Amino acid sequence: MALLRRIRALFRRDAIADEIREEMAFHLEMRIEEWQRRGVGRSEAERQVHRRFGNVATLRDKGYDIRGAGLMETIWQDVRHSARLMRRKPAYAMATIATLSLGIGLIATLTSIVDAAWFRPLPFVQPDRLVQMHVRFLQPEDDMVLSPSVLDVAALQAPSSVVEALGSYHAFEERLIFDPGEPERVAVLRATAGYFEAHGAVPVLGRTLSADDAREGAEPVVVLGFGFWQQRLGANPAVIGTRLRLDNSDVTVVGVAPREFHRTTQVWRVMPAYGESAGRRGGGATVIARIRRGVPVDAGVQALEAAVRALPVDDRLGPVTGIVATPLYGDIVESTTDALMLVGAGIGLLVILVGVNVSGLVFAEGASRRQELAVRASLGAGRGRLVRQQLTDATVLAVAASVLGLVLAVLSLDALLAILPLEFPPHVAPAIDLRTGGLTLLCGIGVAWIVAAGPAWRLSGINLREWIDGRIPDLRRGWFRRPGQIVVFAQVALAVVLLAGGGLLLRSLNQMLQVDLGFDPEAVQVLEVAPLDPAPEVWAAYYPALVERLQAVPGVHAVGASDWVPMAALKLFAATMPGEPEPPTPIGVTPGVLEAVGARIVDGRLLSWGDARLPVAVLSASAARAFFGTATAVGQTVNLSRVPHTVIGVVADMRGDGPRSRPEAAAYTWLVPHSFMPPSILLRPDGAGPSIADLRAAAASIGPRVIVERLRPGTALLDDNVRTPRQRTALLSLLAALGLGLALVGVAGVSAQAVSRRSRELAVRVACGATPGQVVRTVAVGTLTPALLGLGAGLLAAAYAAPLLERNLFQVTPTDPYTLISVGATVVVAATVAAWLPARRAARIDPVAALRE
Amino acid sequence: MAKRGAGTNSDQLHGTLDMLVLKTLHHGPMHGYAIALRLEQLSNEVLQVEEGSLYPALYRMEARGALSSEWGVTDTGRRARFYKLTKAGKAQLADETQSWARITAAVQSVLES
Repeated sequence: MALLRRIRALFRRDAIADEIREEMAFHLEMRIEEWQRRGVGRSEAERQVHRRFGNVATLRDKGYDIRGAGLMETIWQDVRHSARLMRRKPAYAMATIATLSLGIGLIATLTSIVDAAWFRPLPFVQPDRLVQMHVRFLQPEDDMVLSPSVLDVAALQAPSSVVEALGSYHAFEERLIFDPGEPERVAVLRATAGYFEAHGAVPVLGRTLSADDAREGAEPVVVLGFGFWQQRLGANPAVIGTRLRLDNSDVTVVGVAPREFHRTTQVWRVMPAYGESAGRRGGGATVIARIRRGVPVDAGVQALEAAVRALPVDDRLGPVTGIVATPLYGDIVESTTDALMLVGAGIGLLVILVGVNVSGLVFAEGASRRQELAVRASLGAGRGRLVRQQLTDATVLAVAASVLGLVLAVLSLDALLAILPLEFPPHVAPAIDLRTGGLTLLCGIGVAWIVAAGPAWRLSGINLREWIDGRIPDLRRGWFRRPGQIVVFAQVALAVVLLAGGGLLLRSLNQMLQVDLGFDPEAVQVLEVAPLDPAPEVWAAYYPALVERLQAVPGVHAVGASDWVPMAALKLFAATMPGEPEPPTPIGVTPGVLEAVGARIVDGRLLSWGDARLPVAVLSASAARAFFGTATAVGQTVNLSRVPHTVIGVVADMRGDGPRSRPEAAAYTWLVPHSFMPPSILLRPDGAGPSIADLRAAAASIGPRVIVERLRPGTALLDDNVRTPRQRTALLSLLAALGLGLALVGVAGVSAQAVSRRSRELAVRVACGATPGQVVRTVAVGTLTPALLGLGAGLLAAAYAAPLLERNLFQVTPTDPYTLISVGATVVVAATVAAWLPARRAARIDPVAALRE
Repeated sequence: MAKRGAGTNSDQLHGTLDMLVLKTLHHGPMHGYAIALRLEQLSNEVLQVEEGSLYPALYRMEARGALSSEWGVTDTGRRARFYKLTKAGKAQLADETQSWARITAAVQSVLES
């Protein structure tokens, strides 16, 4: 109520003041009349009455303090005072708000990322009851962590007092052909019964996958993703029981998953619980279990472990020794943590830099307000009032900057996320919402207060007498003696750390792009073409014909089909037999592939159509060396998968998995297409390259119905492979550039201030015969000295901190002298320019005018 | 009670003045000048307060809810602000009268012993 009254009072301030005045005037008038009645003259009566009444103005103010808006009123005054101040000093206000909003924008971005990575709950019922696990097998040499087989999962699903539901799903989505007339690929995830139940997902239509669906001879069924059902099937409410054509067979729809559930998956199929694959462990399936309410999660994990130990012993892998349980999607978050540290450290440094910069501005501004504050103090403003005024100034600035910063963050978040090396669980995306925005606002005000508190306290201790006597304490005591120079020192040091980090990553990226991959990814295009009919004979006949047709398409220089795509991170392994040397990776190709990727011939020749289906092989240089040492390989015979092949040529080793991988020993033989992994068409364009329509027409002209998709340039493959390093580099470079910019603004500001602060001293120097050049140098050196000290400290700090970056570096040591020297040179040059430009003003000082001031 | 000066406990002063004002208004609504006159009479001019400091006291009591006020017209036809006790004010008066009596009785007994 009292608050309400005060708020109301805020709007009738004049009315209240008038009432008080009128009331006191009435009192005084009555008293005066009384004195006059006693025969005292009017003027004497007035004098006496006023003396007895007390100081009317003070009493009126006192009354107003009580009846008026009180604290609200003074805060309102403070805010208006701050606003006036900012209007009067637009340069100061703009510089502060701009710098602060940059920092606050970055805080907002970081907050939303941390929030998404760590604090946003998974959109499942009671996600804390969910456990994800792998099974550990005892091996003579080392423990292996493997995923359990489908049969294991079925055994673990036995009714239990601790586990409410348990299921598993395959780690990778398959891209299968969905054929409603116009074939397309859809993302299909295999899961077991219990998968939806463990997640707590209730289907919006129909049912989930059941154990019966996985039995031999059961009708093949699917559960549809909500988005797929809406977009492809028109949200048909009668979809349950209908049949779809998926992966060349008919499947029956039994359910539709809830809206937000695993949005990337379009269709779920059951993992078969029969046949050879059902018993295979290590198939990549993840088990997820929901521990019953009331049972501690640890106890649940122990019970699961006991159940896993009871699983049948695997002859090949040895006994099961236990499980590795992790929180759901913990692995994704964990992989993000490393990157998050990098991002957090970079942004954190920049935010500190912003703080230092703003505190420099506040100090400079505060120093120029000493006189105002001294006058206010002498007029009776208490220290608390003065501190409050200055904190209000800071708050007004912070709020303005926060609003701007949040707008900045919202606008830049998507772009920043694109360059951030981060991965998030499938259900969350960083966003600036009420929570992260509010937190940011608090952070912004907090930063502003911390930055303003020191100068505010210091300045509010001022008193007019001391000021006039020249005994002003100034800010020049202890730590505050040279705020400008400390600010320059800190800014440059922080900027150097950021620059060194960015520089190291940039150099790593450069090194990475310099690596000889053994082929030319820039010139390769990749196309995926697959016949809808999975029959092996269809495929075997299709690809040679396809390659032949594609060769005739205008704009194609070389083309071939291959079960290997450079840098696609997918490859086949040759089975290793104990004691035998590691055989080369077998790669199936048609003629044209090695030409298309730009492999370099070392000896002999490449595959040609004349070799069709003959057991011939092209070896990579290191494979040839492994088999034949220094002897000539061409013409010799090698056993590949126990079949003798004649070596017809040797090509240079390729780093198939990108710059970070080792050169690979490989053997290229005739492609045998498998429908479970369609071969890719590798194509080297000529000039402008072929049009996708021509390629489609050629692929379709052969006979079987085909699906054609994903024409990607090889640079995209390379990008995929170096994207994360590139993202990290881009981010840190951006932060480093911002940091350097801020530091330079700081240096220039301090230099400019020095000119006005030291104008008298400089004038004396000029009057005593110093040349303009000497004066300018004096000022510039005064600013440059702390900058150079900051550079030294920054380089030391960078050398100390750089090993933390080591994992992100490629062929660059954390203390790479080249990088550190470049950073040092850049900072020296930039800081010199930044200090010198404003210092030039010193040369124009008119000694007479300056001394007369 | 002396003029307000160094060493005077202002809380005590406020408290006493408040109590006297409440007592004065016990008989009915009055404007500030009338309250001042009444206080003067009642205390036989022993209590001399800066007259003006009555007003901050009135405002404080009104803010606390012990008094309410409204503009009215005096017997001589002039506009003045009239104060009257609220329910809370009456209760406060009763409380304070009681505790005042207790304290004075205690002081009395100490002085007489």
